[in-house]
Amino acid sequence: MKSGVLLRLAQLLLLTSVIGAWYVLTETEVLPPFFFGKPLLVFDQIVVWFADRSIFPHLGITLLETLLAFVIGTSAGLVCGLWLALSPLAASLLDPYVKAFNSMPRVILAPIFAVWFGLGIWSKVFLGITLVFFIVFFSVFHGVRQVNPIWVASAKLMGGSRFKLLRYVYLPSAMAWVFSSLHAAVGMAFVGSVIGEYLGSASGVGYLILQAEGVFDINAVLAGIVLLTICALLLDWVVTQCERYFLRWQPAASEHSG
Amino acid sequence: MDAIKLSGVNFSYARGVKLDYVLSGIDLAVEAGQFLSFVGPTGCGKSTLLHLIAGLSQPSSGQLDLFGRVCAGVNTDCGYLFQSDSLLPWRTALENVTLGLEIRGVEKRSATELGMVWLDRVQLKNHHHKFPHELSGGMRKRVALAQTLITNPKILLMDEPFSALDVQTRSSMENLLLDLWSADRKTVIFVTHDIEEAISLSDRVIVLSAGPSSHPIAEFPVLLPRPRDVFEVRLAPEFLTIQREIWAKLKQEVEKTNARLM
Repeated sequence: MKSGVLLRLAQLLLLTSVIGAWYVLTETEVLPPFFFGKPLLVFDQIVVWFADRSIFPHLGITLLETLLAFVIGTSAGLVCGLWLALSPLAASLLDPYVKAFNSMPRVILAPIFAVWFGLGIWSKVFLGITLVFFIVFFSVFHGVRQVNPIWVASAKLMGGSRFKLLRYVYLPSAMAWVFSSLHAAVGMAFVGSVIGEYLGSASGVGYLILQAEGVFDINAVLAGIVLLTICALLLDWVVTQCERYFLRWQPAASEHSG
Repeated sequence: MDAIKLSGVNFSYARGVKLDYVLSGIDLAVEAGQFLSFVGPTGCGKSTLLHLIAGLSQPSSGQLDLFGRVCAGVNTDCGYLFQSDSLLPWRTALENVTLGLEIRGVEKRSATELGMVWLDRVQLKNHHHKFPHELSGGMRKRVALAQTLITNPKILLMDEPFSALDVQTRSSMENLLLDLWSADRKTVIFVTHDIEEAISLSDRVIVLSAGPSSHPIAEFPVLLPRPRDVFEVRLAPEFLTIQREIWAKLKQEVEKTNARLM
């Protein structure tokens, strides 16, 4: 417990010293403030955004895109992962295409999605989905293939149909794999929305950052980045809480050795 | 009518012209209510035999009948107690025990009631809310035993179920098994390395030859009176006689296996 508090303090100290160094270096103009911004001005910018409420529509749009990409991408990844893992024929048929899509730099799809789905939220959502999907898909796919065959045999002898096996054995054991991939997926969902907004939109935090960049307002760019980071951390925290609840059956890490 | 009947059963993992049999020429009849043990050297296909009876694998040739019916698919009349852990780690002890009932569509409340009865029978009533990782190895085996028996299978298949347990836990598990078994005398096929375990539990012990192409080479009726206590039964003079006879047979097979593996 005590070492936990100390750790938090040390983490806080690290953050303040980095910001402090940034403050000192830019105030003394060792680093040109024009390119590196100033921490206080970044902070001011965030306060202004919230004070005049101008940030809310942008933040709302970005969060909506991110959440949609996250939820749809994760569900699709889970369903396809289960399907391909349990159907060897489909898996071997689709294997080269899955690999091809996964190794393709998917950010390059953003302009195509903009043409297909317009400049609204859906082009961003689809970009996010293509990023989130593969992370979840691969971990579920490999996870299900490693399900203990004894659990499957045992459920079969209890009279389990394919559907019952899915419900009682495969799906719950895939959950552990889903959660391990969700932390990475959160970040990717944000990447999808922000890149999408960056490449063509009329709202969203990515759009704000692009606008600020256009007028060399580095402080507003940094303020946008800080805001996105905080949102990503919050979403990651929510994932951690869900993980704790759904995976409460797992032994704590320290018990493994015992 | 025999509970289990194997006629001319061969089994090979490979398919094709040149078959390398794991089991070959198995003819066996087990009457209902019999407790039968198989002993044999490592790698003689004991587990494979249980898989065949359960219908988890299909024989390459030959026929399996259960209670006079020819079998082709998974035999849900069989309960299977595996050598390694079969409990689902995300379900509590109680939820693991009631798994078979849930899969068969039994209503939740009556499943829970029956689950508690079975947890009580294996002396784990107070541990119903614990997850498998919170239970000891012996407790997990008792949960697995309750899980297997709750669906009331006609045939119980046991694959070295107690081999991972320490000696004391093992003996008390054996006594518990005999207790539960004597209530309704299911047909049991028990596979083990351990001659003493086989004799103290069974009505009949069959020795399997060394693999490949493993098959029964000798069988011994065990006429020791029941109910038995696995600690005490080992001191009976008849016990030692049978043990010596079985070991004489088994020894040759173990030596063959060792020679093959060296």
